[in-house]
Amino acid sequence: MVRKGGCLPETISRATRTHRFLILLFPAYVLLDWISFPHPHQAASVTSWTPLSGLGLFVLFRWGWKGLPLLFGARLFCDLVIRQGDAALPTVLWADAVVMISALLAWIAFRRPLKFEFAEPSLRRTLTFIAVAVGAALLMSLTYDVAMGKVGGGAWTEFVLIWFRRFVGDFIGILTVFPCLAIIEDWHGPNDPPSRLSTVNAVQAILVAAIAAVLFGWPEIDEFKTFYLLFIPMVWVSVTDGLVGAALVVFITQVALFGTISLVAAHPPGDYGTTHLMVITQVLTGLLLGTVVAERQRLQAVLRDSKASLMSVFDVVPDAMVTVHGDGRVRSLNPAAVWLFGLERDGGAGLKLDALLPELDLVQVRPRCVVETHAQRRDGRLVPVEVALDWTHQESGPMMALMARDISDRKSQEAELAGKQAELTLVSRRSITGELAAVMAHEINQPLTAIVNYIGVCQALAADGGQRELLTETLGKVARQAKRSSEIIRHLRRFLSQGDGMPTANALDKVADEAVTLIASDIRKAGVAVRVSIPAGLPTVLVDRVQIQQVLHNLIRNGIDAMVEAGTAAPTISVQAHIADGDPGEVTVTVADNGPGLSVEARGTLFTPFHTVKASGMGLGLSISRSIIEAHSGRLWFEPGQSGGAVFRFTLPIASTERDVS
Amino acid sequence: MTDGICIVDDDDAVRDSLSMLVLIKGYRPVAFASAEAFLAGFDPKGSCCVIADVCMRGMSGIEMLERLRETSPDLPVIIITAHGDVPTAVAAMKAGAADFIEKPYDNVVLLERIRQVVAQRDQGGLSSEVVRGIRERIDQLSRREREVLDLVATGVSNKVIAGRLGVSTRTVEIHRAHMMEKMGAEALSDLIRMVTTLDILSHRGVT
Repeated sequence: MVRKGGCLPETISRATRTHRFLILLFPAYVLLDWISFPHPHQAASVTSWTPLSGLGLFVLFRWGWKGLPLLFGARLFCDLVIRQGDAALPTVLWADAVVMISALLAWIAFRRPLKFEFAEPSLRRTLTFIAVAVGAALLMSLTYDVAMGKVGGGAWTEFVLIWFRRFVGDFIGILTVFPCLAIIEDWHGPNDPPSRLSTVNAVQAILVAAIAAVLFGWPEIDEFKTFYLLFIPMVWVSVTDGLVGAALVVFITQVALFGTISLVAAHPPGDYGTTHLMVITQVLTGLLLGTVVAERQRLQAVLRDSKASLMSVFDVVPDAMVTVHGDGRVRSLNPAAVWLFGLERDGGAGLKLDALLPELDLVQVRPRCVVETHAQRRDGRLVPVEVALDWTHQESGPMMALMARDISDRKSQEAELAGKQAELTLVSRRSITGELAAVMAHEINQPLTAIVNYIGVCQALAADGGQRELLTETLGKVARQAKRSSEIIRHLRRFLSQGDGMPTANALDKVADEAVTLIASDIRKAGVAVRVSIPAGLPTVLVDRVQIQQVLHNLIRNGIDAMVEAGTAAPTISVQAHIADGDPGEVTVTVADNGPGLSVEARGTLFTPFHTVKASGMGLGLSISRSIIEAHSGRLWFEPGQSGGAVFRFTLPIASTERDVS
Repeated sequence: MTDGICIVDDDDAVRDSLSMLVLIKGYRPVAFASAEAFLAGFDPKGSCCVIADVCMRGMSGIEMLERLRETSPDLPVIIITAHGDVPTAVAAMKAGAADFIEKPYDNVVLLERIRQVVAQRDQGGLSSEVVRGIRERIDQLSRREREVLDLVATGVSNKVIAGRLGVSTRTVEIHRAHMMEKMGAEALSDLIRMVTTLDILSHRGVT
């Protein structure tokens, strides 16, 4: 057999819950009426409190017109069954109708502001509720008294007294019953106030009820002198359970108190005014104290939550975070900090910050600026870190928050990169040195060939024996060619020896001329015209001469290769220099050709290592050139030429401040 | 008068010294500072030989040689160069150079080559004796030495040869030294001359 069903909702819907609650209010109404009904033995016709005003207002407030039949029915039931007064039925109906009307008027007037906020209480909200309760009670009592013809029946002062008593009764009724019902209605609701209550609260409730009953039911006790005892459990509950506890304890107190007076009537209070004042004092004290306590509890909870979320952030961030007292002692560390500094778990608090970051000079570090330093690990290792910090001034004194990030990976990458860069520069330098050697070998072979030839001539002349003059002349030519060889060698040695030095002041025109001379044979072979037009009056530049010649060599070489490959007619490369437009401390050097220029794609990867458009070549020339120029605090960039061709420009720092303006 | 030797070089000292050398050996030097000047002004009938540099401003010696072959196919040209690389030597020999000599050279060797090429021209080409000599020497090479010879003649380095043959660079050096010795070649250019001579002859169908 297959079981059906199983689809009952686990939680009762809000509508169902409120309807059940509405039905429960009928017996509640009757019960409250019974315990507060002025029994025949009592002298005064006015009840000491009017809990039904509070209940009626709550029903209207929650269900509007729809609650009216319930209220009216309950009222009529009480009049006919419980009170069993001797008044005629029409009079009873009229009196009940007036009660309904007075409640309706109060509801219409105050339905917007009437709200008891216990989930997120604040003093302002509670005071608003109290003020609205005053207004509603005034309106209800006045309406009732006027309608029931209490006006003009006797002395004017007597009417005010009656009306005031009724107002106080309504006021107490609203203050005690309305909050209590609002709380009970939310039972298992979104805020679920009772789940915050415990068995302690039940004990408290019983205690309160017992005290009230004893004080007012025991004939030997003068309740007016001992009333303050009721404050003790009320303050206790308010302080521990806030507004919810206060509202409930206030209600229980009143039920017990007035129930005792009405039912036992052992010692009916002689002076209702005094009782009212005491009750009002107790109710207001309870509600306000409960509000303040609840507000504080809520703030503490918010603080706790925000602290907890901050702590979870503190714990989870991968960077080390340390808080430090004003005296430089560590207050707390997050797990990343414990790990970074190689500390014991939960260790580190109380250490001097100097022990963790020995090189950090707090005076020098500006707040929120990142500085690089070293972290001292417990195992003695120093770890490069990036540190940022800021000071806050708390009530306990100044406190510093410090963040440290391990940058050893970045540092090693940087070192590796710098090594690679140096390596590349060296490779490039070797290649240029190799080319240079080939050029020099060629250059030096010319005078050597001439010498060999002249010596052949000399040998022939010497064998012949005659023509001594021609022999002498030829030997002179041999000497000249030998000197030419030594010049070439001297040039080469000068070039090779001046490579590694610090930047020195160099005349740019000489640097460029030499660079062009070095590849003169390539230039000649390619049939390219290279024009160097650098004004001789240009200030000297602070450069490593060989490196800048390498850059010029690379740029000229690229131009030659591009133009040869493209078969450019009348290929020309111009090398020019002038003082930079934007910066009088720099010289801009331009190397321009009239070749095919560069495609847009090629421009994108121009300075990327190992990207080349040449048939042969490693694609390092431009990236190395850029590194060299940047090492000279300059920039190297590409521009398309105005009439095609490629234009490379770079800047170099001027060596001296005094410049030849011409 | 067929004793004129045309000297084409853009280096003043080389041109002057070479002129003096051939003059004192009984030839009649005619010097030109560029290939263009030579092609425009040389006397084909009065010349027995041309000595030209490869690297010159303007037209190169190789290009000049190619132009010259069109008008004067029989005039022997000795190419001299300061760039003694194999591709240049091969290109020169393919273009029809009678000889290829690296600068600086022994002047005795140069004069001997001049004498040889002039004699060859007068005899109407390479003597079969010379060709047979080269063949015999090549036949003496071991298989490995022959492989090394073929690769060397293409102008690649020892390291590349080692890679191609799957042996160490040191082994290649040893083979290369033996091969040079067996071939009777003192310099790389000698070797290239022998190899290209055979190459050119086999292309012409002469055996």
